Formats: sequence, C-alpha cells, structure tokens
Amino acid sequence: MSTADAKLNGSPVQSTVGWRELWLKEDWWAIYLGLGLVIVGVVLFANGSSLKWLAVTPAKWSSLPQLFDNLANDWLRYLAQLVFWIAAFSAALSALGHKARDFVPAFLVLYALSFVVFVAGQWREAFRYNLEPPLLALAIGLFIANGGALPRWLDAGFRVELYVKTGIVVLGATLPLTLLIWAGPVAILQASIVSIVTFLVIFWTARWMAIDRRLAAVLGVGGAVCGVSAAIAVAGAVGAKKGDAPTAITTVILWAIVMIFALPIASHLMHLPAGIAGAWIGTSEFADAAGLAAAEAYGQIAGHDGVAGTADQSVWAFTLMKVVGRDVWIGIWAFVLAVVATTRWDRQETGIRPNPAEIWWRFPKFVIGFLLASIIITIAARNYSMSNYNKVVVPGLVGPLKDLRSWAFIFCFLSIGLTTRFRDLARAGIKPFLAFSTGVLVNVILGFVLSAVVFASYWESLTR
Amino acid sequence: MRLWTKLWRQRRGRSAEAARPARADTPRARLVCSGCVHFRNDPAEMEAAIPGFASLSSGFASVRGDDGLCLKHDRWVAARSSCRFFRGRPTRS
Repeated sequence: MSTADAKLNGSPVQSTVGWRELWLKEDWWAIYLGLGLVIVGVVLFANGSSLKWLAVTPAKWSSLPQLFDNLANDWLRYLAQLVFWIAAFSAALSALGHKARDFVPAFLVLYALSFVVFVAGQWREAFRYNLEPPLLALAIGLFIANGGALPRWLDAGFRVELYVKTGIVVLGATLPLTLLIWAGPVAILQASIVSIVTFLVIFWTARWMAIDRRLAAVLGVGGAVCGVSAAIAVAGAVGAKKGDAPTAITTVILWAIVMIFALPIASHLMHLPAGIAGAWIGTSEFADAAGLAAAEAYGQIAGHDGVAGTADQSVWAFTLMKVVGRDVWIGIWAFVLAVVATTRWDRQETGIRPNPAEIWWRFPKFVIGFLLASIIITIAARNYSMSNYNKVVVPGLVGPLKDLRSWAFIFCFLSIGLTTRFRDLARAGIKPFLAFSTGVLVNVILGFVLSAVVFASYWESLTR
Repeated sequence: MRLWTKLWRQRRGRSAEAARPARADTPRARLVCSGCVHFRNDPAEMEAAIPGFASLSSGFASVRGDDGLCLKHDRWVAARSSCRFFRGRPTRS
C-alpha cells in the first residue's frame, strides 16, 4: 500500500448529491457567507448604518509613526474583524467536517500574515518596488511553505477555495447586473472558443505522444476549463487511472504559478488597458484563485505607468471571463467526456451510464451566489443616480463589501503559497508536461488575440 | 430473496472471485461504488492523499460531485459506478 493509499482510511461514504449538497459542499457555504455579508450590508445601509466599522483595512502610510498611529486607533476594529472571520469560517468548516480547534490557531497565523501583506501593500512607495499585495502574498506563502518551516497542522487554516469563492460571491456585489448582461455573452463566446481549442490541442498532442486517452482528457480539461477542479471532475467521469489526476494537478499548479507572475508582467510591458489584461488573464490562467491573484496584481498597476483603466476593470473582466465564461463548462465537459468514454473508448471494468444531471451536479454553485449578489446590489441601488451612487452607495455599501472581499482574497493568495510544496507534488513526466505546455502556448496566444484584438472594444470599455 | 440475488448476480456476470455483498437483502441501488469497501471519497482524506489537491482546488467543491478512488482498480470512479468486483461495506450491528 502506498503512502497515499494509507491516508485513505475508508471513512464512511457520504452522498453529497441532492439536498445534502446544501450543507456538505464548500460552494454553498461560500454563498451563505458571501451573500450573508451582502444582505447584512444592504439592511444596515437601508437603516442608515454600514459595515464600514467591521470592514477595516490598513490606511495608506508613508512613515512608521503614521502607520503605528493608524493601527493604534483601529486595533479594536481589527480584533472584531478577526473574531468575525473566525466565527464565519469556523461555522462553515465545522459543517463540512473540519475541526474548529484545528482551524482557529491556523487562521490566527494566516490573519497575522495577511495583515502584514496588507500593510506592506498600503505603503506609499510599494508601487515603486512592485509590492502588489497578491504577488507579495503568494511569494511569502511559497517561501514559507518551501522553506520547510511550516508545520502540517497549519494547513487546516489554508482553505484556498473557501476564501476565493466567498470573495467572488462578494465581488458580485461590486459588479453591476447591466454589465453582466452586456459583457456576459462576449465572455461566454470567448471562453467557448478558447476552451474547445485548448482542449483539442492538449488532447491531440497528448495522443500524438501516445499518452493514454483518459490522461489526455484529464490534462485537456485542466488547461481548457478550470485547472485542478476540472481535472478531478473529468478523472471521475472518464474513469482515469489513479495517477492521472496528480499528474494533471502538478502540471496545472506549475503553470498556474508561472502565469500569476508572467501574465501581469507581459501585460505591463505591452501597457495593456486593465480590462483587456483582465480578460486575457481570465482566458489564459488555469485556476480561479491563481487568476484572481494575477488580475488583482494588474489592477494595482492600472492608472499608473501608462496603463489605462481601473483596478475594478481588471478584476471584472477576469471574473466575467473565468468564472462566468469558463467555469460553467465543467459539468458539460464531464458529461460529454463520460459519454465518449463509455460509448467510444474501450470498455473498462468499472462502468457508469452518463447522466445529463451531471451538468448540474458539477456546476460550480458559487457562481449562483455571485449572480445573486449582483442582482441584490443592483436592486438596492436602483434609485440612485451615478453621482449619488458614487457619493452615497459606494462609501456606505459597496466600499465596505469591497474591503471585506480584499481580505478574503489575501487569505486566498497566501493560502495558495502556503499549501504549494513543490517537493510534495507528484512527478508529472515529460510527455504530459509537454502536451500541456503546447496547450498553454496556444491558449496564451489565442487568449491575447481574442482579448486584445477581436473583443478589445468590449473589455476596454467595461464601466458601470 | 436468495433466488432473486442469485439471478441478479448471474445477470451482472459477477465472478466467483468477487466477494459477497455485506447483506443478501441489499437493495440493488446500493450495489454501486459508494457502498463498496474498495471505494474512497472522503474529501479530507483525498486532500491529504493527493499532493497539491488543496492548493488550487478542494475536495469539498461541487465540481467533484461524489467521485472517488477505487482501490481495487486504481481508478477514479463516480460514486454511482458499479462493477463485478463489488464488495459491500460491513454493516454496523
């Protein structure tokens, strides 16, 4: 029995399909937390109050005395916020079967590191030294995790997906529904083109290299749709060998980490407007969390150094492309490939009749929360003119939600680094890596052409 | 009931090496991977066993559905898959 098998102790199998999904899946808990924040924010706003007190973030600073003054004034708010996050995430994770006593100490470490990253990012000279918080968080996390000083028990607090999904649901509150309706179809069209082309390139390159078709399919969706999540989903759908998913995971992680740094740097060198760069990152990154780190980092550059646009445009374009455009493909790919595997490929010992309901079972449900958040805020702000929206709704409602979202994303970016231990990753093998890399190359070029040329007018003009 | 079970096994082509289900009256619906001793899909255990799984994804994500690993075939399978090597989990008394 391998070390990996030894960790699979055979805990009782629980079905998470159907209504049970509502409390056994992370996506739904991200919706409860994210939408809960949005609804509380709207209720407080309607009653003349705000989440502002809780949504504290470090202020811009240029000298240490100024920084210490700010922190001394706001320490109680930070304490309250820490308690809030612990209570919210502990409730969600306890329902999912984690132990709060493992999570809480690990989260205290995560919050402390996040605080340091946030403070560093607010330094007025940070831009000059490229200290964008997302990249800084990732670099610090990778350094700590791969330096060997990180105890394993701390992993209990590094829940990358819960943080990023919660953040994306809250992000929906900052993205107007009209923009979703206007740019959503373009995102879906661009994502469809890129997903199909990328999958076919990886799949046929892998087959040309005589890689098993199930591994080829797992690698293909890993590059085409949603990285690790899609690879796992399709591995089950096509009956892939046990080692296929870890192979795909290794290649996805390595390329995702490279792209977090490479795409913003390339966009910066070409002075791409923020919306176009966000769309390109959404098209060519392999995971939501990694892509958001890159999009947020580029957003920090927007408005400086010849880069047109705003931070919001970068994140909005990324989210439309990746979350609305690409992520929703997962169930469709899983179903189609399950049909192909059971009807066209050689029959295997384990079998399953594909079920179209799989498209719904595998649907990334947090996207629903993201859309609902956008609808709720659009309704809540419907009676405000643009100037009043900026004067009243932004500081009282949308701004605090955005600040809380920033915290959730910083937790996520740090957690990516803190959970990525390169020495632990499975050996991918040169052929799968080359097949995937060919798809990366095509994806990056095609993504750039679609984002910066074909649909450039849409992405460049994303405004409220 | 025993006759029904025998006929059902014959129809499924169950081989002699396949172990008996835990209970003879197990409903057919339970004779799928989710009820098999070879099947593993606990999300926390899978995250611990598969390197890098939790870095950019999660065992608790909707997209994973109920999928898990079959230790008999060393394959990823859906919880509602089935095969002739099904062996029921021991029932708790």
